[in-house]
Amino acid sequence: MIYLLEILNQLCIYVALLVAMDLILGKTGLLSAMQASIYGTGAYATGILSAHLGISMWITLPISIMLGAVVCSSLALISIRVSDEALVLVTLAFQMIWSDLANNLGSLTGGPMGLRGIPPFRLLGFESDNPIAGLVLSATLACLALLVAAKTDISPLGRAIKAARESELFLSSCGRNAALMKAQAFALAGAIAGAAGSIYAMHVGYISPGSFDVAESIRMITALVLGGLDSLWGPIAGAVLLVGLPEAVRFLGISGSTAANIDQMVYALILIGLVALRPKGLWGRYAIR
Amino acid sequence: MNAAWSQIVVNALLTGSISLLVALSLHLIRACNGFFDLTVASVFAVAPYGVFVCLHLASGSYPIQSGIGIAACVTGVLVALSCGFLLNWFLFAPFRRKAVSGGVLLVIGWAAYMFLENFLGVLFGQDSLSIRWFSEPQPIKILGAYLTPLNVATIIIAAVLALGAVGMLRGGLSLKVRCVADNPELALLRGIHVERVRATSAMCAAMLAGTAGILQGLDTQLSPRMGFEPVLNGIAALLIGQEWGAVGVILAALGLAQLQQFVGWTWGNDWQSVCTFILVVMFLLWRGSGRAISATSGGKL
Repeated sequence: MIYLLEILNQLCIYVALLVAMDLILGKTGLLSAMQASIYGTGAYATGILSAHLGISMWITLPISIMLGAVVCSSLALISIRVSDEALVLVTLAFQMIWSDLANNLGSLTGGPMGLRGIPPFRLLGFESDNPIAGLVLSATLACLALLVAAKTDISPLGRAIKAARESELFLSSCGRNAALMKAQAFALAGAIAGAAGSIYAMHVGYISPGSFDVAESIRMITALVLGGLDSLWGPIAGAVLLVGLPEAVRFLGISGSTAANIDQMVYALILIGLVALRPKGLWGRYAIR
Repeated sequence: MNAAWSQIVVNALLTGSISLLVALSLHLIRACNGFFDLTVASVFAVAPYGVFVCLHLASGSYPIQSGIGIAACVTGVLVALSCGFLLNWFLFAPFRRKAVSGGVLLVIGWAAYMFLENFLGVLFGQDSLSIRWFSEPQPIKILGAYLTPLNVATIIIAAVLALGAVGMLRGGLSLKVRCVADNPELALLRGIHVERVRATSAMCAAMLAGTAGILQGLDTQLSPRMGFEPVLNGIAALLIGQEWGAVGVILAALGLAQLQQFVGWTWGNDWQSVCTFILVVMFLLWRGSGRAISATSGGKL
């Protein structure tokens, strides 16, 4: 039962993360390879502030959300200066810088060994390290993220962002600032990813750079492309793949490192197959181009 | 110049040699096919594993003779060439026929790299392997810096290949590559065999990356992930130097290697990549590369 609750908890966190990623990739059409680092920024902000300084989660959670929003919206400013293709490489570089900093600033982040002793979220006598309370918290986050995505989709802002995706020139001719639209979408995405990182850190109580590395970003991109871009069901389907595939490989009885290799190979084949045969994924309305 | 500085310069020349081969490989594909090909990282790793398999097959005649070792290295380069050809033919060419963007090809290349890296992991395991069949002779002292004969050979081979690549890009292939990159349909009308030019550039790029992989494999250890960091350094050099053509890419690779060695000496090796990527991001923000510079906009080769 606890195993199932933990799986569901993980699923809800990934739904929120993929919704955030869809706000960037699905709505603005820009591919960012640093989603895991935004998630990690939220987690480490909560971890460092609560474990080192003993600050309450009522302060660390909003700080994590704000940090995620600030870091992510800075990406929108960079996207003005570079081409879409170069943006992928810039975000990849950011992801590598982030991982190196998390590994190298040992006194602050715990280095490769990670950060321990992060206190759980406490509310009405419940603590988030309890599987049920943790699930309630992450499910709330996932629902809120889906609600934000749904509202954004039908809002004037959402339509303007999608118009910028199709033609920035057209949006400018309508008197709208494309960069500002993108920055707002990125800030929303960063806030959700920061919150997901914070809730994850408070639930597991231990974080390490390995949980937020470039491979994690690639897994998220693959899962979202599979689920479908610019849709509400896409992130949910993608999260099911993201959580379900490693568990399925584990049940096949394959040893640890080989299982991880096979896991990655399957993701890679799915990604190539999808781009070739079904660029819009399972429930998508937009294809990477 | 004191001994420490000499050593830093020589070390930078050595790491820069590997880096410039990878950067030239990426540049060749970007110039002709218009995308950042991350499968270069897998070709970089596949070639030394090809050498490992050859040496393993010849291990009955231990100790391995130099002739067999060199033949294994040549086979490794051929494995890289074949890998480049197959990836271009079976993976990228069908997508190009669908007229997909460079971004989609980049994602496809990324997925192919992931697949091949993990495939190597399944075949050979995650443990480090060695292809050094010879015992390392004593280092020699040149201008106060210590170098092994293998280091000298690495620098010479990289210099020869780099000159060859620059010559090729400035010679007969240059115009064809530029035509294919600019407008494949017009190139076809002009009588240029577009797919042949693309395959040639992919194979030349694979040869450069494979040779770099083997040279690094001889100096250090093999691991499935060994191509990732050189390719990131290569991309950094490409982003900085592509505006000035192949020579710019080479100079950027050597300059970045120098910076990394200096940072490693001053703050420690852990900070080398951080400084490189910060420099790249700052450069991109300053120059706006990628938007202004495109392989299809007639940039220098």
